Amino acid sequence: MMAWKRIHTLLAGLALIVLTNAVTLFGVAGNRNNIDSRVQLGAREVRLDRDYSFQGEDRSVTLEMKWRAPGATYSYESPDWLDEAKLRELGFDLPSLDREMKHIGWRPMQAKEVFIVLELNGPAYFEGLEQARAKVEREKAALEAAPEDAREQQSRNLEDALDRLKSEENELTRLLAVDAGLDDEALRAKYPNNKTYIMVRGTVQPAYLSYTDGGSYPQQWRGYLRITTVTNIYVPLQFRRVFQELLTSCPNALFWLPDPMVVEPGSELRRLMDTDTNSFDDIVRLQATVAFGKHHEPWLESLSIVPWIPPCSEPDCVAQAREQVREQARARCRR
Amino acid sequence: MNASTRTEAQLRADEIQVFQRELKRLESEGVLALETAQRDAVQAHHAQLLGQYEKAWDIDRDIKSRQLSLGMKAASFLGALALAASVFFLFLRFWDQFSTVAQVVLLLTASIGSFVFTWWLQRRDASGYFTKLAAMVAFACFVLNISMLGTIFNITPTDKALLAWATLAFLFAYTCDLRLLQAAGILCLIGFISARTGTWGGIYWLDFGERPENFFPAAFALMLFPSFVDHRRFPGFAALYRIFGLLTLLLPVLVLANWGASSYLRWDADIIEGCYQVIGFVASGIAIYWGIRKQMGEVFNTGTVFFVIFLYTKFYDWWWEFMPKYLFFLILGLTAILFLLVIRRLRGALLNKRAA
Repeated sequence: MMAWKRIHTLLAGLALIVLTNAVTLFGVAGNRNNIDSRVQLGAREVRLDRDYSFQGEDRSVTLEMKWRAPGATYSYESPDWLDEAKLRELGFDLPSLDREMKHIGWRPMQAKEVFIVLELNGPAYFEGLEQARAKVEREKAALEAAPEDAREQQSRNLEDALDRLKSEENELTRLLAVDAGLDDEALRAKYPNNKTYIMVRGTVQPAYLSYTDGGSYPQQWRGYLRITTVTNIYVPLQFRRVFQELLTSCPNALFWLPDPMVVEPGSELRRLMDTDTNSFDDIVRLQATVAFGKHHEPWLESLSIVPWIPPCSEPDCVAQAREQVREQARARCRR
Repeated sequence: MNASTRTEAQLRADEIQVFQRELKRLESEGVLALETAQRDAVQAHHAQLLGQYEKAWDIDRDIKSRQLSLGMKAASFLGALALAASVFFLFLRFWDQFSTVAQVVLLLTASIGSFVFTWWLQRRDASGYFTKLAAMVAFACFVLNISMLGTIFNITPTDKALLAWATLAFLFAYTCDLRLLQAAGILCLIGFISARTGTWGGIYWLDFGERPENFFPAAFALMLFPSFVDHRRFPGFAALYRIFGLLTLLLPVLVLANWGASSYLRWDADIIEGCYQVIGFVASGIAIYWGIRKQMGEVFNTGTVFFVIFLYTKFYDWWWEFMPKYLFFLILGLTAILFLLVIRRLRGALLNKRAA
């Protein structure tokens, strides 16, 4: 056997480093050369996220893609369609509820890798909207019919329903998880519209829900989704430059993405951010074009800022308000 | 010279010093008296050998220099960690000021540059302390290289990166005689093998820790590896494989002995815990026997520690709730004394066997 010499160490190390990088970069190229879907995500679906980890040393900016289950508020809630039948379809060997679960007791089941379908501003979202509107009507009718001693509770129910409707109409993301499967090609054939449906990698974990306190939920198997495709998309320099130029040219403009911790006290932006009715996301609203490739890995194709619009309801007020806000910003910059 | 690594040279130097001290003692007790010519020849040979080793490997010739070396080792280790952290934070701090192309070029340059520098330094650094520093920085650069490419291009996390990191760590470990990087390589390899085992079991790779049995293949691979590959030229390497192998086996067994619900087995959790408790006792007992039999101190010590942990865990389960605490701790103490007596008896039996 040939003796190992120093030159072999050098060649082996260089080969390892170069090969690993080459494989990685070829994989990236392979992903980006075959676009699986391309979507326009609005201010409700994305938010800019500055990572403050490592004692604030990490200065990178990412674009967080927000998604949820239909009818839910958060992504960790279980979608209704991910029931026992769907879990068995995905290949989970679920013990029968009556005998085995009593014997084994609750124990965590392993999550399984799947492909998840996300739908943007599609039928699932509008169905959720209709359900929220229908609930408001039901609560209104229930309030009218409620006896005196139940009116207060019924009034709170109506208020909750109205808040939920407002959230569905204006705030919550319209990117909903609508399906999951083991074969991405079969799923793409089922959802061919690649401007509305995104395919991502994820996991499904079954959980056994059992309420023994007389609650309204029966014993049942439900699944919980987790997306493993990166959903905090890195924002490259060419897109961050847009914000940096604006910041340099007009520090008080409403159009910039500032670090909220360094917004000047007394500025118009600071005043808006401190007002109860305005959140940072309301003020700096984004639109992003995100593409997903062959390996279901995303990248940012474009990023723009939509100026904040004060709430208004008259005809053409949106366009007028937008122009007013721009004029205010230009006036501040001229000073 | 007969020594191909610093560790071998240091071992030989230590043996020479022990020989010289014992020879003096034997002469003073009148047991042995070398002729002048013989003594001079031995002394001259040892002096020449130690001189060569000192020149080539910068070894410690006496206790004072050994103590200084220990200090240098500690400083080298802390310095290596600090420099690696510095590289990491340097990237994080200024990362967003570069374009994507510049970022990729920077990462590749840092990886290749630090590796080549380490390779170049190794020839010139007889002591190995500076090489250790450089190798740690080079390893950190490579880890950053792959993980930051993943961040820039939004690549889905994969266990294959662990294999690449392990390969570079082992390359440094074996060519520069660095057990610190051997440990880093072993940890990456444990992660990779366990993740693969989990994936073959149908789970997402990052969840491999949820089923401790996923660690068993890695554990057996590490324990058996030194038996198939000769590590005489790399003192300490085989012991490190065995220690990590035992830890990778016994820690998951300890977890399963207390939390049966995390097992792959679909039995009653109490039965699973009972089975793994038995396995824990048997495995640590075998490690103790194997360590004594093969004169592997690290195996014996690891087996002993875990045997005691399993035993004390059982005592806790049986008696903590109802036994007065003074009595509980008295029993623990008496058990430790009994253990000492048993081991002493085993040692005695072994010595008698050798004497026979």
